[in-house]
Amino acid sequence: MMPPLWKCPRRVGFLFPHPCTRTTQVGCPDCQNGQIDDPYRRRDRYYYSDYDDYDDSLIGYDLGAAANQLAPGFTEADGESLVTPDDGPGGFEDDLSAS
Amino acid sequence: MFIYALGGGFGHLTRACSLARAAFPDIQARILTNSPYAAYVKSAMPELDLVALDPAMSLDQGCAEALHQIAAATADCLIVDTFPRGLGGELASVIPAFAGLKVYVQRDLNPHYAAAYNLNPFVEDSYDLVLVPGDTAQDSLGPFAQTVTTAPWLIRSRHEMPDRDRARQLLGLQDEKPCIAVCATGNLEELAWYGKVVSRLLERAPECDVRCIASIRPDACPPECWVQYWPAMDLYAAADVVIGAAGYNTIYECVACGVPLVARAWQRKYDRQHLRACRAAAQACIRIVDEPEQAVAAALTLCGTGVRPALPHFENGAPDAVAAIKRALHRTGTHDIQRT
Repeated sequence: MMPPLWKCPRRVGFLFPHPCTRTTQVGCPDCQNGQIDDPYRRRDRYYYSDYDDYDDSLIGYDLGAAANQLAPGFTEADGESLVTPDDGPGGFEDDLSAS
Repeated sequence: MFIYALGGGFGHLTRACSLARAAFPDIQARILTNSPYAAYVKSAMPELDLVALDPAMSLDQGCAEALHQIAAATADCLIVDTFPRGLGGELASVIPAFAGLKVYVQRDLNPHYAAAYNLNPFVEDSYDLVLVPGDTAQDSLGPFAQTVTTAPWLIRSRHEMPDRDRARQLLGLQDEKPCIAVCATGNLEELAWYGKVVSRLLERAPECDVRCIASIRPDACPPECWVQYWPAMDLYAAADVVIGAAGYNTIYECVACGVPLVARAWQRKYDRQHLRACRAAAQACIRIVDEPEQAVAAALTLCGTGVRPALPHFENGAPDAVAAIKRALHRTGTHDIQRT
């Protein structure tokens, strides 16, 4: 049991470190129930300021050559079988979590 | 501009973010999402104007809130991703009456749905501009007179990509071993599949580094293999193989980065992941699998094909899409553009 008004003193956030401020360690995915003092200590944060230049000879690297052996026997006509079976018009526009 | 990007998973939201980033600072964009990953994306890119609906909202609540947000935004340009009538059909009466520029972003769509709701004439008559971000399909919608096709929209342009060393740091890689990145996106119930893949890889490939890029750690994935990071594209420069879904972003990001992909095509109500994977496999190194064991075997085969060269140059279609929107805004005389 955490004391009343307790706030976690850790800093969390892989991308943007910020005070945790959770009121309990129980179930915390960052410190894993208080077992880790600094959850992101070993990781670099999301920050970079310089970019590489690549030699022109590297441009055009083509993975497609490998794909030649992988080309599936697949046509446009097969497309309709690739979605979740529906129940007619009533099976659409009924789920906001769909994609 | 206001981007309607309702829909599960990362796809709709990421595509909207790509467009919004390309539009900034000339055009201010607000994105409407109900993705369960909205907070995750917002923390990575706090500069984006995201309006996040509760993913647990009922259909009626969500539709009503979407209409409210569109009205409240008073934008001169409404951009609708994937679902021309709205995900719940709530935009069907709104779109024709909207006074500003109306833009439809055409991702692949279930042809049963397109036929059942007569979407071809609806899109043709209702939208001023149709943008096709690389995901062309001839069997469901279009092409329309107002269609503009671009390269796929990506969350990073080439000049923004971290180099391999930086990507290795972000992945926590210490040794010069091949890296297999398992990108666990999609629905929560699909996490277990990715967890099994990670678990099998750890058993069978001690010579490789295995990382699982996921917002939520699959149960079978050890904490030390879990990387909580978005956008995953930042990390692909250090991956020798990616194992992921065949959704829009995973496919086009891997193709852009030249990283071999082992793709699990999940069934969706509207999207045809298998179709996308098959088309992409004709141009890039993509293996399509169903079972975790197949994914592991394919990844190990691809991993042994040699050292990957540096990131290739690639095209991000989002700036071209913004240019098309600006031209359309100019033609219609709307004034959504805020120049700095």
